[in-house]
Amino acid sequence: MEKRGKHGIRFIIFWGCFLFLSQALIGLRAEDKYPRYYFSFSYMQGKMAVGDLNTYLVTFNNNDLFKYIRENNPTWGEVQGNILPLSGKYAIWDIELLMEINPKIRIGFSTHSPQGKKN
Amino acid sequence: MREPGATTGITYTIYSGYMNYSPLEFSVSYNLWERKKISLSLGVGTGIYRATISRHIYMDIYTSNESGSKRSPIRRILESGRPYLPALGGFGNVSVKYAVSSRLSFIAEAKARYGKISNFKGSEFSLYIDDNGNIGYNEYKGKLWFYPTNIDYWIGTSYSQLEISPVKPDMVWLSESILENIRKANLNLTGLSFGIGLKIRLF
Repeated sequence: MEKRGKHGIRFIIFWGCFLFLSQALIGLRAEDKYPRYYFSFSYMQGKMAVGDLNTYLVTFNNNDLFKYIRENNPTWGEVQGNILPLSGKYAIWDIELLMEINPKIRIGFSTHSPQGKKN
Repeated sequence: MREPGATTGITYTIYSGYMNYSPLEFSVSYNLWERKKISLSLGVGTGIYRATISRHIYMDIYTSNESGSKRSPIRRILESGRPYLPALGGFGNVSVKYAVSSRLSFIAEAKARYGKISNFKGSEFSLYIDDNGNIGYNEYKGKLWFYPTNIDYWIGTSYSQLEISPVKPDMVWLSESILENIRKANLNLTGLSFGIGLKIRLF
């Protein structure tokens, strides 16, 4: 908990300094000139399909033999619990560098933090 | 030889996972509507994506009798793969921007992505104990394949299967319809995401 608190403080200090420095560049700007350059960072949550790995896990969990054992409870075998599919939900930090070519159009290069799941 | 009064059984335990590494994405956005401090824009883009997937299967045989129980691994399989070619994907997004000042804005974004990583290459490492009690292991390398239809395999039941093989699997006991449907396994990145953030003008 204490470790998380320290990370939080470092995070706020880092981005605070970054915002301050970027605002300090105001004096260097030429307001109406293009292209303009931007930096953005955002917190995103989403869900992806995952696909074949989950198809394998779900069909293996529901295979005919396991179904039979669960339903008939024979003396020669038992199936405990279920194999769960991997969640496709994720939360990531996304950062992007943008170049505004004119008031209407901009291009951007972005990346985000790695994300994964295991069970 | 089985001891008197002993019971034996096999347990299967499966662990699996995937990891998406940081992609590189390129986008073009068009400012659709703007009024005072608020603006709405639409964008499209493409990205280069990489990931790994892994599957660990533990099969243990256990024996129990009056003196206690004993577990010994009969087979352990570790499969992991990463793409030998990064995959291309596409996305579209809608974003709303609220300008706090000429330098700083708040943004809210919705993004729809389409992409599948299918060029997985990896290895399967399996440990086994033979009939004489000797421990050995096999290692196979190849591409990761997927049988999209149910087949009779391994434990005598039907389910879709993932398999590492240097060439497309061509087992004689598989029916024609299944053989036709064997394809490279994929990790489907398609989905939706929503986010909020800050946008800062640099220069």
